[in-house]
Amino acid sequence: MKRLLSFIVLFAAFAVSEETLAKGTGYLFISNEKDHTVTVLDGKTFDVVKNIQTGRRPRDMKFNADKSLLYITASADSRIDIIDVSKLEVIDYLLPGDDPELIALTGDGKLLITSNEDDNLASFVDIANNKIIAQIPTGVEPEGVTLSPDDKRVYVTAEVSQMIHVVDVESREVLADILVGSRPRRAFFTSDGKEYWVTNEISGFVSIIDTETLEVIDEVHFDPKGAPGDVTPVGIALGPDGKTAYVTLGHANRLALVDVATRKVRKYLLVGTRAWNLDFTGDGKTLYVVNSGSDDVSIVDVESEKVKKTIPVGRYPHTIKIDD
Amino acid sequence: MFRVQTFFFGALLLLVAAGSPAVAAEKNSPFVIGYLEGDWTASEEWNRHPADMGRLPDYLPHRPFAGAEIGVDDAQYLGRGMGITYVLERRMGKTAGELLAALKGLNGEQGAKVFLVDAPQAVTAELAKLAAGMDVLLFNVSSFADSLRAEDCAGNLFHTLPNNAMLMDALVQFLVVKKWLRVLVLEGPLEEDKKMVAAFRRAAKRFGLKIVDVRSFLLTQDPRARESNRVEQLTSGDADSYDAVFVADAHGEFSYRVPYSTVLPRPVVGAHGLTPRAWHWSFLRHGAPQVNSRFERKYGRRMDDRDWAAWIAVKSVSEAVLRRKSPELAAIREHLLDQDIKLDAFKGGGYSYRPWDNQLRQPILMATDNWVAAMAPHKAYLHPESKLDTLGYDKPETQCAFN
Repeated sequence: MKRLLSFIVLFAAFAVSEETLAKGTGYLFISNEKDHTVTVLDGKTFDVVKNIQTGRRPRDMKFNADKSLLYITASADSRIDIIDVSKLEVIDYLLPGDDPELIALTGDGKLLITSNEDDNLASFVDIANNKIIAQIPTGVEPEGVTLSPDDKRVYVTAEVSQMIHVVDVESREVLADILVGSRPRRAFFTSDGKEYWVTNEISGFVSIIDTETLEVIDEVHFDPKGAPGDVTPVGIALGPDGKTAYVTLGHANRLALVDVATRKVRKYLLVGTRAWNLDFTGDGKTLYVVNSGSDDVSIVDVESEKVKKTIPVGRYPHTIKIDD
Repeated sequence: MFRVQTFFFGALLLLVAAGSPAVAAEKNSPFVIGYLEGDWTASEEWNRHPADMGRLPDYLPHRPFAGAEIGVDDAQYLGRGMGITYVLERRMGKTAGELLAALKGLNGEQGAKVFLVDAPQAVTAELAKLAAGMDVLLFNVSSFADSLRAEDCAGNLFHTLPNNAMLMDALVQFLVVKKWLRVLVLEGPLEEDKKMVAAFRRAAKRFGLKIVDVRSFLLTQDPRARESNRVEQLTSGDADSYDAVFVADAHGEFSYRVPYSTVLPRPVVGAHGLTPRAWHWSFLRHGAPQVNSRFERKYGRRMDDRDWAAWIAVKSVSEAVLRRKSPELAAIREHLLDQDIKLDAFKGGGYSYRPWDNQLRQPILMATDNWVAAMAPHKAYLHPESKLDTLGYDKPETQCAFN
């Protein structure tokens, strides 16, 4: 009996370590704009593992392909800090021009593209040499930077100019300026790469652009009942199965679930105040929504489509990334 | 025959396509916005510190032209795709007649049809009348006067700056929500001060606030006038006689000394203390820091209400041109009066113009010296159409009749 028990314990321990190896630490990384830290939480207990000091005003974050490094825009210091995920320390930084806001990384980990909000530029940074190799003039207050699935084009939103600039990554030419709604923010590409969905914060809808014709082909509108404030969509992510789009509605304190095929809203979930960014666990079972107005994170069970729990984090949380 | 006809028709289409489209004809064509600046001998400004006026001699002459310039900087991006370059032309004049001459000059020589008017209330009202019948649009970016949205309103005159009634409604909503319901009013000697008190009275009546007394102050050091020049005397009262003090002081020189000088420990609102504003440099939400930062980096000073009003006026126009795909005035006007537009004014929502008096709907910021403490309309105040219409002149009560 004793031997059997120890065998089970041993087996369980083996299974856990196997899982850890395959899926990373399971840690949640949350950037806190006003604390100048990235909070690392245990993915199961939600206990704080560490608060990592970063440059000032940490905002967007992106992992490299194998999730060994985490890139963070430290906007107020005009830096992109690099966290070593195994050490949980800032080990280096890039200089991407003034006030970087959002970032995109190519799959090969060689190129980082960021929006320089105050300078109306999109900067291309050669990561290996820590060098800006190109700066593309954009409209006023560039924000969202999204690479097409094949990394050939980057789409940059310009908040004040209300446009999406489509830039060829290799030639760095602007292929199109596409007029959308008021204050375009963040975006994703559908799994087949044929559609680009972007939130328009002030207009309150999502614009859908055909990536071949580079024209707006449709809009998704929202009408949640009993919302405390205006519908101001900012965050947007494609669900793991590619069938549902998840859109945070900002002051409406709602998360909208949109059917990608029919472009119709299926459901609204109540989340925290000024809900913006969101990310999924690798298994696609859990969705985390960052509520920057209530300094917390809502945890959504993807299958049952229910908010399970809300966990407090630092001041003005911006982005969440999951290492699993 | 059929074939020939088709060919002919096709050729005609080609001809039309090659020769006429607006886009081709207007490649890089300028869109001129006129900036008409009146004579500002007295400042209407609230909360501008006397020390600033003394130390920075060029502080006062700073007109909201800077706001218009930032607006034009932003507009260039919107015009790029349409081949339109925005140009700002500044002209000055003492009287409405002089400004009209400047307007006609810009209209005749450069085809300018949109004008920002940075002039006192009477001049703006007269200019709008003189320009009636011309194919032009005016934006009042400088006057808070209620009369411009009422008896002196004009169909060719839009307002991006809020009027006093909006500011006072916002302030009174704030006071009522706070349950600071009994207010002592200190009224200055200027005509503007009296108008401010009138707007405050109107708001008090609308939202159920009690004005316990109205006392007149004088800006003098005369010891014989101590009843009206000393804050201690002006604010005397029993322990529970007032909850807050409202100061109407358009020139702002008296109101600085009111906070911390009142007999009772009560908050001061109005010209100093907590001031209702269209815009404030300390506002940290809704993208405001980005606009303020762009402004401050370029001009080395802070963006104020009027700068914001000029900026948003240019933005209204450039967005109209972009959305309607036309630089024609009729299209711009139609867009401005479209009740479904959502103008991004960096105050949290999308806004439109009231069709009954051409006033831009907008929230009001309640600002201290360095902080936006609250915003109005407060959520407690409901309205069947737009909560923003709880501020200022709503449709049923408008005194404006366009001719």
